Amino acid sequence: MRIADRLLGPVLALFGLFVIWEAHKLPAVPGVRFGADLLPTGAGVLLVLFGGLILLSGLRQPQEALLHLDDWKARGLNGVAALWAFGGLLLGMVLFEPLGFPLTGILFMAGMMALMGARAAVIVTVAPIFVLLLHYVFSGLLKVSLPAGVLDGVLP
Amino acid sequence: MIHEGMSRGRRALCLAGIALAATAGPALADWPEKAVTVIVPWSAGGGTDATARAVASELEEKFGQPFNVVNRTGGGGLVGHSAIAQAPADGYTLGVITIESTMFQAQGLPGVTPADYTYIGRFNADPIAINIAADAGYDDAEGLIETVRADPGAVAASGANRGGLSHLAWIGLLDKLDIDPAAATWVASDGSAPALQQLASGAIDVVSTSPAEAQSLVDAGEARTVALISSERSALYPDLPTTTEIFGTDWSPLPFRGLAAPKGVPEDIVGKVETALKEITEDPDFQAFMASRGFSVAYQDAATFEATVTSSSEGLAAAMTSAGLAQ
Amino acid sequence: MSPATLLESLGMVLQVQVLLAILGGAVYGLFIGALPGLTATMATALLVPLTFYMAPLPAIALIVSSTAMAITAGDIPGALLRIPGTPASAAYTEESYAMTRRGDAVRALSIGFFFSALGGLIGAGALLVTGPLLARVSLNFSSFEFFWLAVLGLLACALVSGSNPVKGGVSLVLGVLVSTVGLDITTGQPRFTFGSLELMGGVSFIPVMIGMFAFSEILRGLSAKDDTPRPGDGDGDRPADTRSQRPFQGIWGLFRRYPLSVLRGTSLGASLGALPGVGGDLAAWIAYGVSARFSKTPERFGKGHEEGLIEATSANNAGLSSAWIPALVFGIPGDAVTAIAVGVLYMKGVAPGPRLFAENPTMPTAIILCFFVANLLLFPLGYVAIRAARLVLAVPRNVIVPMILICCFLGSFAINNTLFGVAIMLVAGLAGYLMERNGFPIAPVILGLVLGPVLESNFIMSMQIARGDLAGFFDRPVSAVLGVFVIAVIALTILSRIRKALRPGRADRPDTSYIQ
Repeated sequence: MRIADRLLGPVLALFGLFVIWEAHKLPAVPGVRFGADLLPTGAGVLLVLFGGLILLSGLRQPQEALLHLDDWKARGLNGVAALWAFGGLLLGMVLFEPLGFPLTGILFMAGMMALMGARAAVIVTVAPIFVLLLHYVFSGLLKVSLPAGVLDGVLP
Repeated sequence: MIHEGMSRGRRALCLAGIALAATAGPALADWPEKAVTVIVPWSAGGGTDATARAVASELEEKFGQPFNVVNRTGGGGLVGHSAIAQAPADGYTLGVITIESTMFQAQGLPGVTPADYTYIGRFNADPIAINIAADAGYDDAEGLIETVRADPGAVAASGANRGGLSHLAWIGLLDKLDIDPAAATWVASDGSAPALQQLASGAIDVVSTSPAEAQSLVDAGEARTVALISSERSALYPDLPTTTEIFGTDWSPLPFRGLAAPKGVPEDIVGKVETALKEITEDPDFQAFMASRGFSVAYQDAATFEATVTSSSEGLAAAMTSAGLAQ
Repeated sequence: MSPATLLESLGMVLQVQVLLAILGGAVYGLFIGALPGLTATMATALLVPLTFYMAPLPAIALIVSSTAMAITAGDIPGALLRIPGTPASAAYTEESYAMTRRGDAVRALSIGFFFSALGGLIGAGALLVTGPLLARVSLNFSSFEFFWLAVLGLLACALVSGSNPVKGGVSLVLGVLVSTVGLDITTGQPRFTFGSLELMGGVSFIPVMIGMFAFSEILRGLSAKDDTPRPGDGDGDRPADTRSQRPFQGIWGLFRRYPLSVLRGTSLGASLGALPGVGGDLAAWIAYGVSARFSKTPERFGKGHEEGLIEATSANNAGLSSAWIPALVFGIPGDAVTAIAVGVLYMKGVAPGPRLFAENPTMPTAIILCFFVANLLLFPLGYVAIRAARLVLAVPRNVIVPMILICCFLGSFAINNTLFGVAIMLVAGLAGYLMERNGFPIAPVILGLVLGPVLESNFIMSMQIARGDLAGFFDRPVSAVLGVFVIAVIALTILSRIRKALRPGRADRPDTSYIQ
C-alpha cells in the first residue's frame, strides 16, 4: 500500500499533535525543569515539522493517487499464503499455551509450506523435524520454557 | 481450589490427589514431575539474577528436575513481579521476589501487591550503603549530612530511578534527620552502575547502593563507603558503621531476595521448597558463592519471610507518603 | 605492560583447559548467535551455572569467546535472512542483505567474519597497551558527555537514511517514541502505557528488529508474487549464490583497497567501546556514518557496498573487547554481558578493580589475550560457518520462508518469555512493510529505539545536576569540546544541504531505489 505524500504528511502531523497532547498530560516532578514530557514533546514537534515538509513535497505531485494498492499482486493460493504468514502467527499466539509449541508450530509450518506449494512428502518430513528440533534446542539446551501443551510429558 | 482442602488433613489430601490423578493432572505427591520455571524480575547479569541462578541450580540438584531461570524484565521489576503472581498456582512456576514488590502499591502502580504471593523463604538481605566521592570535602556520614543541612541543593545523590528503593533509603534517612528530602537533589538513574559512573566522574556526590557494588570503585580510590543505612552492622563489612550508630535514627530499609510462588500453591510443595531452600542456605558451597559476590546469606522461613515483607511494606509506604512519593 | 607479564599471561592462556574453554565457548557462541532472535546476553547467562565448576581463567575465557563469537555470528542471519543479531548489527544489515540479494552472500559473510576478527585483534592489541589509561579516561565521562555522544549517534542516522533525510527523520522519531513507552525513570510513573501492564515493561528492540526487518521482508516477498509457485520453482526473490566463491576469497584485496576504513572503524570502536553503557551499540552506527561521510562513493551506500560494511563490522568487534576495560578496572559493567562477567570474576575471587592490574597484572592481560585467541578462531570457524550458510541459501523458498517465520515467532517470544513479544513483532512487521513501501528507511527506527533512552536519561540526569541550566552542558571541559564538535557537525550538515538545494538542476524526487 502506497500512500501519497500529500495524505501521509497531514497524518504524521496529526499523530505528532496527538503525541504532544498525550505528553502534556504526563505528571511533572516538582522542582525539575525537564521531565517525562520532554522527549515525547520534542518527538511530537519534529513529527509535525516533518509531516509539513512531506505534505509540501507531496503537493508538487498532485496527480498521484491518494492510495496505491498495486503492490498486492498475490493471487490464489499465494494470496492465502501472504495472509497465513500474518494470520497464522496470530492464531499461533492463541494456540501456543493450550496446544503447546510443538503442535502449534507444526500446524503453522505445514500450512505455510502447503500454501507456498511444497510437496506433501517434504511437508510431512520437514515440518515436524524442524519444529521438534527447535523445541528441543530451546527448551532442552537453552532452557527457554516453551509450553509443551498437549504433548506435556510425551516429549523429553 | 485444591489448597483449601489441604489443611483439613491427610484424608482430604489423598482424596484430592486421587481426584486429580483421575483427571490426568499431575499427582501432587510427586512434585516436581517436570521442569520448574523460576521467574526473575530483573535482567540477566544483575545480583538478583546471579543469586537466583545459584539457588535454581541447587534446587535442580535436590529435586532432579530442571529449574529454568526466566528473566521477565521491565517496569522497574513490575512486569516480572506481576508475572509471578499471575502464573498458574500449580507449583511449576516460582519466582524470586525483591523489596520492590512491596512498593508498587504505594506508588500507585497496578498489577501486584504483597498479598498476591505464597511466600516460601528469604535467602538474602543486604543493607544499602552511603557512598561518597573520594575527593569530597568531607570524609564521613556526619560531614555529608552537615553539608546537606548547611547548603540545601549543594549535594546531588543518585542510585536508582525516582521512587526506587535506593532513592527511598536516602530520603528516608534525611526525613528521619528532619531534613527536607529536596535539600539533596535526586538524580534519577537507571540502576546503580550509571550512578557510580556519575560519582566517579565528579558529576554527583552521593550514591546509595549496596557496598558490594561500589567495592571496585572504593578499591580504586575513587569512592568511599561511609555508612550502612541500617540499624545492624553487616557480617561482610564489620567495619562499616551504621546510620543508627551515627545518628541514632531508626531507619533500616533492608532489600531482600526470596522465593515466592503465586497465591494458592499447594502447601506441601511450599514445604518441600522451603526445606530445600533452608538446606541450600546452610550449604558451605552456596555460602562461599554468596560471600564471594559480597552477598550475605540471610535465611528466613516462609512465615517469618511473610511477616518481614508485611512490616517492610508498611514502613516503606509510610516513608513514601512522608516523602511525597506515594500516589 | 612488561614483557615478563605478557609471557607469563601467554603461558596461562596456552593451557589445554583454557584453550578448550575458548574453543567450546566459540562453537557454542557461533550456534547461539546464528539462531535468529537469540542474544549474546542469553548465551552468557546460560553459561553462568557452568562456570561454577571451572577455574577462574577458563571460566572467563568461556564467556569471552562465546560472546565474541555470538555477536559476530549474529551477522549471519542478518546477511542471509535480514534478521540482525544485535542493535549494532542493524546498522549494516541492509548493506549485507543487499549483497546477498545480488548473489554475493559469501562475500558479505566473509567481510563480516574477516573484518570482525581483524577489528577484534587490533582492538585487543590496543587494549594491551592502553587498557588502564583508557579506563581512567572513560571514568571521567558523566551524563553530560554521554548526552553529546548520543546526539552524535543520532547524527549518524542522517547519513544512513538515504537521500530522503525527512523520511529518515520520521523513522528515527518513531523509534524514539516507541522507546518512551514504559515506566519513566524520572517520575517512576507509567508513560504511554494505556493501562497495559505489559507495556509498562517497555518495548524491547529484539522483537521490533525481527518484525521490521525479517517479517516485513517476507510479507513483501509473498504479496508481490502474482501466482502460486509450483514445486521446484526457482527463487526469484532470494537468488542462490550464483558466483560460487570460496569463503574469504578476495578479502585481502578489499583490505588493501580500504585500509583507512579498517583503521578508522577499529579506533572508533575501541575508544567508544570503553564508555560504559553507550559505547558498544553506538560504535558501529557512528562508524557506518563516518564511512559514508568520507567515502568517495557515498551514493553506493545501502545498496550492497563493501566500504561501510568493513568499517562498521571492524568497529563492532573492536568495541566488544574494550567494553571490558571499565568492567575490569572499575567494576562498572557497560552492558549485560560484562555485568555477568564481572559477577563470574567476583565469584572466582578475582575482584575487578585497579588493584587487579597492580597486584595481579597477569590476570587482566590473560583475559585480553583470550580475546586475541577467540578472534583468531573467527577465521577457521567463520570459514566453516560460511560454508554451512551456503546450505541455507540452497533451501527452496517454500521451505525456508516457513522456517524463518517460526524463528521470528520463537525469537520474539524467547527474549522475555512472553507472547507479548510476538505481538510486538507482528505489529512491527506490518509497520515495517508499510514504511518501506512509502520510502521510510527501517534502520533509523532501531537506532531511535536504542538511543532514545540513552539520550533522554543522560539529558535529564544532567539537567537534574545542573538544576535545569542548559549551560551546564558546556561547563565540564570534555563535555564542552564534544558539544562544540557536535554543533559544528550539525551546522555543516545543514549548510551543505542548503547549498545542494540551491544548486539548480537537482532532481527533487525522493529516492525510491530500495522500494523496487
